[in-house]
Amino acid sequence: MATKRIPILGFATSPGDSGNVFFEPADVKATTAPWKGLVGIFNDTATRDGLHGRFPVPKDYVGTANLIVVWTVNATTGDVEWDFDYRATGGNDTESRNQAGTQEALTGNNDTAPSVAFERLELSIALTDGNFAADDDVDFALYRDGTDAGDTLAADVILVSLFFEYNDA
Amino acid sequence: MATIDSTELRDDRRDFSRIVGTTTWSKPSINAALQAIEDQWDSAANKTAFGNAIETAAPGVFTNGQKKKLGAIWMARKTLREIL
Repeated sequence: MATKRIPILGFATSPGDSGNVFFEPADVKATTAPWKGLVGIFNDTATRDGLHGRFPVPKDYVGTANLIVVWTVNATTGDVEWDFDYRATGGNDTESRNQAGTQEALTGNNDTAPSVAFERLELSIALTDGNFAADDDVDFALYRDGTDAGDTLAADVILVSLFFEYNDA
Repeated sequence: MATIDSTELRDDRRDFSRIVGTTTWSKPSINAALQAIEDQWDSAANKTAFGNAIETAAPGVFTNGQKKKLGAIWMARKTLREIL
């Protein structure tokens, strides 16, 4: 049995329509490093704003599902509140892709600013194993919840990577 | 005294972060500081002091409303110069 991670920000990734979540080259904020690969920016707001996406569950999925949020920020004080909503659909002519609501909504996932600005941070959010099956499509939304009193970071948060972590057979 | 709304607070926080760089304060702290500045500017003592100073310098020239606007223009120019 092995623990695996797959990146889940694929072609279906879409920032919400608030204007407070968007993608920009990494060196716009991290001005010392030479890397221009895109990062996701979640602005400091008093609203709940997010990005949407979709990924397939791998064929060797067995369980122990987690969402791994890799992020950073030009700050050393304050907390960010991450929310994650999703629905997995699967099969052939058996399950609708037009269902209302979420399958699971995970709120209040709090993480703290780094001890030194721009240090890499990882937050692991446990998902319900039984909601996933090999070959399912998982539609999801990742939010920064600025309406939550626990979101005290007075800076724009930088999403570096987003992974689906799981154990295989 | 006026309460600063969440959108204005958001914009002030963002502008301040851009100017200062690494954020070492929390959202509640900077929100409270901004509100304190707002309260001080709008306080009766502040208005009286500004009004009396202008009146002493230019007796009977400006209305109270004009005195407040004149103070705001001066503050904007002074703080912009300090930022730059």
